[in-house]
Amino acid sequence: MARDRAHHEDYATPLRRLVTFVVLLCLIGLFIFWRIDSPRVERFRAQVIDRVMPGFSWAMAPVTATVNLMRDFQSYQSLYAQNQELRRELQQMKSWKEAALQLEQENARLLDLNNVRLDPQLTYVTGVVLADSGSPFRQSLLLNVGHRDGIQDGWAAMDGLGLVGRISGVGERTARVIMLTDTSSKVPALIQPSGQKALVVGDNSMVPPIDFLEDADQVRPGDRVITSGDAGVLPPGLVIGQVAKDPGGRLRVRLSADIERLEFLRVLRDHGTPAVDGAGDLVVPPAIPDDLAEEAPLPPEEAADG
Amino acid sequence: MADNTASRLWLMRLTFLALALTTVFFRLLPLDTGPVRWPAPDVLLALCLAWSLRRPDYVPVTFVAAAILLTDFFFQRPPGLMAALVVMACEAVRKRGPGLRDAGFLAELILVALTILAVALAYRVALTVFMLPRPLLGMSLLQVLFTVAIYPVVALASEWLLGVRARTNAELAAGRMT
Repeated sequence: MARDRAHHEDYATPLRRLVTFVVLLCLIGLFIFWRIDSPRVERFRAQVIDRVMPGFSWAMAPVTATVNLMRDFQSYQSLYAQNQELRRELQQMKSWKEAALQLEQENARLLDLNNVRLDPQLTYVTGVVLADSGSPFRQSLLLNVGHRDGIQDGWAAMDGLGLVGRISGVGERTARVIMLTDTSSKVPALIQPSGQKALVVGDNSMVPPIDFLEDADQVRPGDRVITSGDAGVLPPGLVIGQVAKDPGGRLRVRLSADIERLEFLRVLRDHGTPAVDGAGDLVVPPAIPDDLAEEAPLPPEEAADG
Repeated sequence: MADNTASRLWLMRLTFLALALTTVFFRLLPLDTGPVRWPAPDVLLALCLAWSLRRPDYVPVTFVAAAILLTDFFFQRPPGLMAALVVMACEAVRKRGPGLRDAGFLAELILVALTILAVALAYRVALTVFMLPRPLLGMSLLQVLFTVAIYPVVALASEWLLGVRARTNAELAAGRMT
């Protein structure tokens, strides 16, 4: 009997070994190819996710909703205490609401006085969060908007409150957002009111540390952190969060965005600031075409006379 | 011997793929989008090892490779690396399977624990050699620990619910004879 089995395995083994070998070769080849030509394989990755993800998403929404419902149901058990707490909070909120209304009116007046036009280029596309990164070591999200919605790599993604991350990897119907907390995320930031520049470097924790700070003494916990827009990475002036100090004395950012429960994200369209090519363009008025050149010298003379 | 028919074989192979997709599905659910304190166990790895130890014919190399490669793509890992390592691990476990058939569960658990640890270490070494960013060592080790802890659950569940149990030598012999 043993001989029989051995005989059978002898027959099957070489073929299986060959298949294993070929598969291993392909996988390692793919890995090395990725290491050499990362963008091409990353594009392929985006395409794969783009193809597979819609098959998941129809099931994902109800399951997510059910789990959230069950979580909410657990909180019903402490309904009474929660009710009391909410009532207390509501009272506080009422006073805040009053303050906010007054501030809003004041703000509107001031804007009117200044004749401010808010940046019309900062429009946004809102997407639903389809999926998590799935790995404990990466912090990214998949949105249901992609290339067909005009999403481009590098655009900023925010929830209603603050910056969440930036787009990295766009498929036809999906786009990936690398969150500020991911270890590969580094965002140039400005700390108000001291005006210090720094980098917000993700380290896979809830509160990313601040790095490359010029003068840490000028920064206090509670200072606002906004994007600086340096190097055209993100549009300037987006709220990131507030400075906080951890027990080790290191400065970190407490993010404004509620990154634990993200459902919708708005992706800001950013067409970048136009680059200045030559130094002369800044100072000298643009060259006058020839046919206008004869008439052109007159006005300056009049101006000089007057 | 309904156990040996081709339709049962392919049914179990497809079941494996379905289970793999299910684990991916649950990992991707956007429930907690922020950083986690405890890494989740790698259920898929435990599943691959459990099945290739017990019933290697249910998990062909190509299926394992395809499943892990898909997770590589989804979880933003370097594509192919983890897949190659898991395929190697499954092969190693598959070779030792017959020796362990009558040795009891503890021996199996020790073998699997060592294999999971080896996969994690090899993954780390490869990332270092290719100068790629590595996850925190503590997190990786915790994940190894949790994966080993989840292994008995996965193994017993697939044994009781799906009937993926190792055939004893006597059964094997009987199966071959018919």
